[in-house]
Amino acid sequence: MTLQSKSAETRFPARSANQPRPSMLPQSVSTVIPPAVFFVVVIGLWQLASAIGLLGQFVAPAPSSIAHDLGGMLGQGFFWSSVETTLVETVAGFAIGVLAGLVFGMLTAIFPIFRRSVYPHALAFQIIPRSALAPLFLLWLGFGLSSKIAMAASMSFFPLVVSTVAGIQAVDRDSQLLMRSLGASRWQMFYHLILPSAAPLVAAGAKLALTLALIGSVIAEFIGGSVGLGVLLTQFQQNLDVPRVYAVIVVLAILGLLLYAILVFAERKIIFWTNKSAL
Amino acid sequence: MRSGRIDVLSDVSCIINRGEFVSIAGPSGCGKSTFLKVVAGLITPDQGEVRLAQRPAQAGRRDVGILLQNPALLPWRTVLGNVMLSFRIFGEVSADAESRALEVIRMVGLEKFRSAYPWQLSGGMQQRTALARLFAYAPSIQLMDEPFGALDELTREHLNVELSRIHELVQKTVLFVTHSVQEAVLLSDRVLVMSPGNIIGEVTVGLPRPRRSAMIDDGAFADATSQIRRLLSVARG
Repeated sequence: MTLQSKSAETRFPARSANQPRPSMLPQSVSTVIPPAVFFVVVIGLWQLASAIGLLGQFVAPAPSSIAHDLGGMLGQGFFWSSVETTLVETVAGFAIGVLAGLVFGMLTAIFPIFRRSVYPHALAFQIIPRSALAPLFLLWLGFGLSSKIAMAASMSFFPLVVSTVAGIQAVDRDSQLLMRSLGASRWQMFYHLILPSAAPLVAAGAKLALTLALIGSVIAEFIGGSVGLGVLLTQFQQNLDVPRVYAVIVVLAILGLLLYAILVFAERKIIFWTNKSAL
Repeated sequence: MRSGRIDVLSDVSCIINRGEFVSIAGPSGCGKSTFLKVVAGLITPDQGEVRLAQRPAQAGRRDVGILLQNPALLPWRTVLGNVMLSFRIFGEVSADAESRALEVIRMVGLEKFRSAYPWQLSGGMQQRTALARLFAYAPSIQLMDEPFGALDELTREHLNVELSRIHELVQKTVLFVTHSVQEAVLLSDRVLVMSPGNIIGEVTVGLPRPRRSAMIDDGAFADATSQIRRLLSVARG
């Protein structure tokens, strides 16, 4: 039997307010142009302030001289090996921290005994400034990559724990009832309902964790490293080479943005249903 | 039936026959939803017994299905994917299961939307999807907890008539909870009236099938409605 749906119900494929507009051009213009203009204006004013002597070259060297020194570094091997080292530390630390945080968060959300006995200690651990742990990691793991990775991982861990617990607790009660009425096993409940339900919050935690991982690897390099952008930063600082200090900061910003963009891209591909609330 | 320290249900004895459409009507908080969850085996009563087709109530029975007010669709699955959920849980995903799912999607009038996601559908269409998910595995006992309670009046009336038609087609036993007297009468063979914790009476609806919304003006409709209203006012004291 076929039944006609009423006109009041046939909203598909009408777009709801939070879906992208059909034409990409007006939207990209409105999201890209204003920040680009603002950026150019600020850099222009900075350059101008340097040129007329308002800003001392020691405090804030002109953007043109930072760009010049940055360009010079791009042709040098030590620069690229520093980028590579920091990148590897950050990504490896992030991956380990995310995985550990995810597992810890699941244990916390699923097993009440774990939540009561172990979780409070994780909360307390979070209070310790993570930079205070860096000397310990150096003692344990030496001055190589592993101590930096450990630092980045310890920074990434906690946001994942919190977001995983929150994500699992945000599972729709009625969907759980329905799964139970269908006789879903614990594994099916987890795989078909809990895991995808928690994914949006877990992804939010991962984005936070990524920026923290980069901070972690740079701090660890400050405290005891031989290669890396953090090491480069301290060397230039000791040489009073201010434009290059700025140049490394710019590189760190670009590195962080690139990693973040990859993560957001993956998130949008995998968790395509978020921000599209049910009516 | 205890929840915390309050008895939610005390005397809710009733018998429902195979193939019958029975509604439970009552004011908010009278325990009708709790009763339905006990029948579904989702809540275990402290006392008393529920038997469905000779077997005690238990969650996960294949011959018992529920439909809630919240369609509870999975936003990461399409209409077809949601309707296939039961087969996925039973471990019976097959071409046969898919053609069965497509058949019920057609039955509820959503064939054009089988690849749409829930967030692309109106509330009424979401609830149709939930209906299709229930009909797909054809449980012989269907428990519905105010399934159309969140919908606007027009959509609700339309879905009432559709549900009634499908019911006549598939002949399953339905226990339907509602606080709308009109909906209860339009759909049911029998209406059980609940006051807090108790079933205080029942009214047999003498309307012929198939049911149509025009029957609201029928004498038998008015009869049943006024009987239920009288019982409800007694319940209120």
